[in-house]
Amino acid sequence: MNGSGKVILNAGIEKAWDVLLNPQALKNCIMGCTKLEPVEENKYEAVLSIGIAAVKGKYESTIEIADIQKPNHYKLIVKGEGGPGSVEATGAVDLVPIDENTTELNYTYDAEVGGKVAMVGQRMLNGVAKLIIQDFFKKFNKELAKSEQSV
Amino acid sequence: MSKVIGKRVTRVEDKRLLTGQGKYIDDIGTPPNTAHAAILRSPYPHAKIISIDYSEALKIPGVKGVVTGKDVQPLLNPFSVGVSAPVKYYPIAIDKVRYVGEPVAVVVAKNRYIAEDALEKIKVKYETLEPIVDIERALEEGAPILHENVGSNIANHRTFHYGDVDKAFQQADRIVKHRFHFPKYSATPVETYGIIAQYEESTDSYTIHANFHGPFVLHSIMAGALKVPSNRLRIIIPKDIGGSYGIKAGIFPYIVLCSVVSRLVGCPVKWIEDRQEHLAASSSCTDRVTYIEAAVRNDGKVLGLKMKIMDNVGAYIRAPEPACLYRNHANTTGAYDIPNLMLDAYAVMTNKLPTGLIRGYGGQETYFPLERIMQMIADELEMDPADVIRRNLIKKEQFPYKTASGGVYDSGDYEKAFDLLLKTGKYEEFRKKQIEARKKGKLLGVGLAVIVEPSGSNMGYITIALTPEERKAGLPKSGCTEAATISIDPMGNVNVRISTTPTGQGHETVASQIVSEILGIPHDKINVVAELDTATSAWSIASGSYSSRFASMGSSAVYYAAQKVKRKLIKIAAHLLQIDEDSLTIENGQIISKTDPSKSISIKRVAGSAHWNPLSLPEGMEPGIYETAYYTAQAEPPDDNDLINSSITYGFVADLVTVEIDPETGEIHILDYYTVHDAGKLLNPLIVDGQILGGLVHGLGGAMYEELVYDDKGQLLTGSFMDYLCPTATEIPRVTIKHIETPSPLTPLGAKGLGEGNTMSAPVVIANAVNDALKPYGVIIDSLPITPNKVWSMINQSTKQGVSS
Amino acid sequence: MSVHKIEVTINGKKYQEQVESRMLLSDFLRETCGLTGTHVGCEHGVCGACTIHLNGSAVRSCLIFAVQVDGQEITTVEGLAKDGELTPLQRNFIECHGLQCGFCTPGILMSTTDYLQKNPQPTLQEIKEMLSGHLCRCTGYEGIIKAIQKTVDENNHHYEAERR
Repeated sequence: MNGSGKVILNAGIEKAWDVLLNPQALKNCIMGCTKLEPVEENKYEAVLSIGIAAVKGKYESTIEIADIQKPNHYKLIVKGEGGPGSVEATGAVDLVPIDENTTELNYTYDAEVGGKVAMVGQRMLNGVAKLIIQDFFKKFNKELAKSEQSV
Repeated sequence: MSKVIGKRVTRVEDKRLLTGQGKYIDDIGTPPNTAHAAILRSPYPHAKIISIDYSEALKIPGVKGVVTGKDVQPLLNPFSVGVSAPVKYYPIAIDKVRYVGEPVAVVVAKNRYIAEDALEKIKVKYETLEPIVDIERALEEGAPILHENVGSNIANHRTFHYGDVDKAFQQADRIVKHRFHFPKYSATPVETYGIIAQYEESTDSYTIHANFHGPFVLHSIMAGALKVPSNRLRIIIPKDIGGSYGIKAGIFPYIVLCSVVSRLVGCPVKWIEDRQEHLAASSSCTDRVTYIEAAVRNDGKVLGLKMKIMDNVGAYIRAPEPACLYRNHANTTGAYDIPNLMLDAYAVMTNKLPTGLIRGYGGQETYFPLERIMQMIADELEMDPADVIRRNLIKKEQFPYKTASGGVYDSGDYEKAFDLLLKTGKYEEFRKKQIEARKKGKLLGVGLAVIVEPSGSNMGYITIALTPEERKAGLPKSGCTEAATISIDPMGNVNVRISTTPTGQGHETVASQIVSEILGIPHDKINVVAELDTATSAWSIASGSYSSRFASMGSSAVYYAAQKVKRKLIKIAAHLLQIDEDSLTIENGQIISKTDPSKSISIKRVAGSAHWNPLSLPEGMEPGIYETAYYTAQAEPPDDNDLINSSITYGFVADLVTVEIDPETGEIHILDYYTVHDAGKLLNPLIVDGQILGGLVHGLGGAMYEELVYDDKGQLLTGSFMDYLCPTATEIPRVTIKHIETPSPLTPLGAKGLGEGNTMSAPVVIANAVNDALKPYGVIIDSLPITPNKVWSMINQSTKQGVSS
Repeated sequence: MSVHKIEVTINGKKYQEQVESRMLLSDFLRETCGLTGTHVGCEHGVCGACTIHLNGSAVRSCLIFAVQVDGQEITTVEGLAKDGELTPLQRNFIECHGLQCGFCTPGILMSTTDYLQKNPQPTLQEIKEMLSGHLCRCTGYEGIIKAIQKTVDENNHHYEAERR
């Protein structure tokens, strides 16, 4: 399954970039993320708890950040495996500055879902993906506001 | 004179099933210390197994053991299969997984709940490989190969030339050809697989209870895999099985798996499959691509056929495949007189669920292109499809009819049945209605299909997958043997033991009818034992229920066993009454003189003598009343010209379906479904109509609702009943069934098998009806299932005028 | 996993058992109580084979936990026939060949019994819609529909006879 979209972030491009690549911020924004720890440069181990249809479970995942072109572009490669199945997703993120407090973020993603969750939750997958992404950016804008305050 | 056979007798099985007293595999209780298995299955369609770490799983309280392919391989041989390609198929993945759902590890625990908890703790590392699911692409250069030691994805390939195909194609006025695709679907019995397996170390033997129903040739294959002599693999089948329609033949790898797991873990193991496992990893029919070419004369006569058939047998070719390609070999030309036939048949392996028996078995895949091309011929020649069919139907005088590929159709009157169909379905009238409807923008359509329904598979037919030279290297197979045992106990009561392992077809009832009529005892006083025990029942390689063989083979074995009992009873009675055997007959529980009714003796007395007073029996006669009959029809192996009569009896089914299509939504509404059947002598019309309707709904599912969908990455998308749609009561059309009977000269009761006919015909007759309705749009339906969105797309993508509303 | 004591009346008999919170009612009936007439076909609420009566209404036992029925009344297929006497619906299933393998049958009997009590005169379409919650792969549904229609007709004659 795949998709794309566009979001407005309430911060300048440099600030947005920094928070996007901050693991603590990411952990707070990814739905169901109970662990996110760096293992190498630009590579993280994560545990994601997600429920799709009746299939709930924990996915042990690796998240890799690649193709880094600060502050405009990077790629995310997520590989997750768990009881309910497996996920392999790549996403491309592009940032465009609007003004000193606003940035436009464009994303595309392509995901392969396998195992039980693919067998049972087919019709939900697109919806759940959209939900996770929407939820991410809602929380992300909050993270941006938080980091604004702490400055 | 027939008093019970042929009557609409209600079933003896019903009372126990209606009151919750059925004895299915999950109801029969288990040996002490039985533990429960859960299976970890591959989430990938094609991958190497790098490592399996189950140390965390073992820590869960209640877990008795975990078994993986590495543990199992030393104890098993790969399953033998009737092809020369060296495919190694084990019941669990060894170093590679080749389909989503393939077993990778088995957990045994105190109960299923704990076993499933433990599954989540097993960590498997996979290295994914590129999957392949498209049949034709699997044959192309550079396609991913599933079995490296085979070197290609072809499990079997043979070509056959019958008659003079080249001449037929030269003489033809035109060639009509097309490519057809038939989908992969299942029959999803409501009861899933169930096994209780127990290994006994002291005797190195296995005792299995399972809802398996044959063909019992698979017993030899299981014993071979388990590396035990066949008398150390005891398989016991419960008397109630919750449906199968062929799918439960595919339980045999799991029987071997649970057996060896029981051995490794050291306790009896019970496994009840759940629905998701069933859809992903039990069994299904093949999906098939057919390229069909018909050599046609301008008057509609088909002179010859060429068919290139590619059957997708899934990730592993397993017994009895490639029978899917060959079960209908003898009746490939269907109901038509076509003496020239070329077949180019492939069994192809891709990363999908392995296949096996299913209701219809190869018939729906064969008749879809055949009956569709007949309609296309009619369209091209601007003839009525009914006339094209009639031009080609086998005539009554031609029976027994020898088909191009060696089949012998025992009896039939196809023209009579077809005329009855057109009359019952008011065909001419509908055609007129259709013309009027089109003027108003309504899409009405009528479809026709005529098929030959084979029953009673000849065990020799599977060797047609080998070349004549390869066959010479092995031993020939033939026959279609079935057995039955009838005994009368010391109190004069009758037990009948059958080996046809029914799965709902009412064998107990029909067997009791046959015995009742021959022995003159009320049928409800007869106890029919449907449990099969390979250690104590009379059975052979063909035993079981599949290929609609009970009415033709199973009933014949019961008939002959009953005749043996009758002869013995009469002999004893003649001796006791001191009169001539030939003057005696049996009726109403008495053996009575035909000429002097005062001379009679009850069956109870006669049977009693055989037990209580054996010295009163005729000189040299054995005590007791216990007769077994083994029966086979003349079913010969293929000859050196690859001619094979793959079945024993052949029935006929003719269907007429009318539909209306909503051009806005593409919805297909079936107005009427008419079907005419000729299944020879009907043994119980009540049961017959039930079988026909059940088969019809299976066919309806294949036509419009059911499909095991895999995406192009090999992921199964229809893994639950939410997405795999089975027809419910609101989907069934109005059905009208008519019968004609041309008895089979080959079976003692004249019965042919039935129950698969409409499963074979419904997909194509519905396709023909929809195609006919959409004729103004110039569409050609060449794949299934036909869904509203497919129809809608066809209408909207058509460049033709269509209909105006 | 926590264990609870529950008390439930099934077919008029009281059962007192200990169950884990996650135990499904279908498993409880079959394994703990030994009532194997209720069958499990899908465990996700589609096939209807597990249908029983909970406080007089038809429900899917595979979608309920055993702990949820503490203190409640259940009827299973074993409780339909009283003293070995089949109900008219059961007798009509025999007459009309409404079952073949019998695996889906208990669930259909339970749904139909509940339905006819509340809707004694359904149309053919209403019967089909009621049945659409049940999968049968053997009969093609016609024998089942005939059995239900015959039961409805007999009930009508019964009422009419009583009224006179």
